[in-house]
Amino acid sequence: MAEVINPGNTMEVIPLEDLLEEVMKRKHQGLRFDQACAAFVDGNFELSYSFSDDDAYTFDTLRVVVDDLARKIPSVTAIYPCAEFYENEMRELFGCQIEMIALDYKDKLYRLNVETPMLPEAGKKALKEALCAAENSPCNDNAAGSVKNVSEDGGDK
Amino acid sequence: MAKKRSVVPFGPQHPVLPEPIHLDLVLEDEKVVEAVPNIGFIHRGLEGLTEKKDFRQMTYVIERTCGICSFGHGLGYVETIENIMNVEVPERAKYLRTIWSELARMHSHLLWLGLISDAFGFESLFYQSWRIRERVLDCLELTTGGRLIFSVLEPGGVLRDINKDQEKEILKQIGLVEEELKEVEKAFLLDYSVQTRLKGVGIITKERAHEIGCCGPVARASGLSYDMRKLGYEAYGNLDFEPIISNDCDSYARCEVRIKEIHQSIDLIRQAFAKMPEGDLSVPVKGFPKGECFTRIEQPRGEAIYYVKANGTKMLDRFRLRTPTFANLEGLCEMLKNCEYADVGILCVTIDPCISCTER
Repeated sequence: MAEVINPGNTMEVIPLEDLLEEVMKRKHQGLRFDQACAAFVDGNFELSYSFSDDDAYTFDTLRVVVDDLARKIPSVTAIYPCAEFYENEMRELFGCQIEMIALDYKDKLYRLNVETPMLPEAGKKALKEALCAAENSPCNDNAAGSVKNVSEDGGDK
Repeated sequence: MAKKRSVVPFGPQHPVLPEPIHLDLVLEDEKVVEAVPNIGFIHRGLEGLTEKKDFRQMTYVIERTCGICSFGHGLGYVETIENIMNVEVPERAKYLRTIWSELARMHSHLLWLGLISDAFGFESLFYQSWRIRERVLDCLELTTGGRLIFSVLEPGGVLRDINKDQEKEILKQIGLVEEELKEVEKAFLLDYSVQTRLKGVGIITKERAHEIGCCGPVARASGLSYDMRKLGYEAYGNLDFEPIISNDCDSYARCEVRIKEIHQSIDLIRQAFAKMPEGDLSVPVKGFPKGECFTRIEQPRGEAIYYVKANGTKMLDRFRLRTPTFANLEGLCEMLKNCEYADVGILCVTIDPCISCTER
């Protein structure tokens, strides 16, 4: 169990397979979707999905640890459509392989010219290798971690 | 016959937008049927700096995320660090933080009143709102040395005190703000032309506001009564107040809630000065944070969430800031559906967008 200090806040670590079920439970409990974010810690993606009960002022977080960086992560936007910006951000900044986002910005939410800028170099390399292994293809410079093919005005070439 | 649809780009440069946001508006004649927001014009990667700066230096970086929400961001960050390190801040520092927080809320809401006046073309109301705001900025300059970015926070407490003369001056100035606002708010709440532009426009029902995760004055104007100050952080637990809500759910309600919140801030500042004890301004913070924590505070624009994951060194593993505008973007899309094209500018302003914060 992760260490959470604020009183009234809880955190539950769940396997990725249970993510949609747990999110659905919270939807049925009438909780508000508060935020989602990613972190890269010890070679894994740590995904946090937070929900709040606005009558009791509680704040509950679901934590998913993804050790295979190329693993497909289901989008929760079918349950909470307002998660779309958070999930687009997680994918663009960290390279989390979230699929089926309701409104998919295709890694152009922030118009950055560097891929996965929040991943450290080791993470970029690990993500690149994991993606190549998942596709059974040799790694090349066009995989994750490279500079996007972007023109000077910010548009794609 | 089916109406012909067209897509009209709105922004990123537009007279009503103080900061760049782009909307793709799908129109049927003059009616908006869908809006897709695009951000990303001013992303600066401030969260990424946490891996490269000492966690104490990050206070200054995070305060500079935005000029208007500056104090709140600094407060959310230092409070998160203090929670992780189990630091108990002196009582006086808590009250000082609360007073500066409320002064920041006042100047932010007065700024918004000016911007919305400008958006619906009431220039004299814009001037009056910003003239009143100057009094608040003067109070902030008097006590912190800065009008927008104060740099008075540090993990463990605050760097400056408010002496008796300054307290007297603040109380005098907020009294004048209260009087002058009472005059100006008549125009906002009773003027026919203002009501025409705001009443019944941009409706988000209570259920939808909850479903799409709205926060702050946008949520409270739709009848949702949550206000993170009720969590009792800093000195809020010792002050008497209730969240201000409206059940009208439209742009007028969002304006009304913000005006009432300025009066509420004045009341909270008076209560805080009356209850503020003497004592130290800070306690020494030794060592480095280890652990993780989510902290929520009520910024002028709504609930802001701060997440820190620390590994016991001076660099943090992760700092994350979820801003109110990020949450309210969904609300903006919701209120733009079925609105008239001429109302788009005003509706964008009614969520009080802060794109600098949103993109970090």
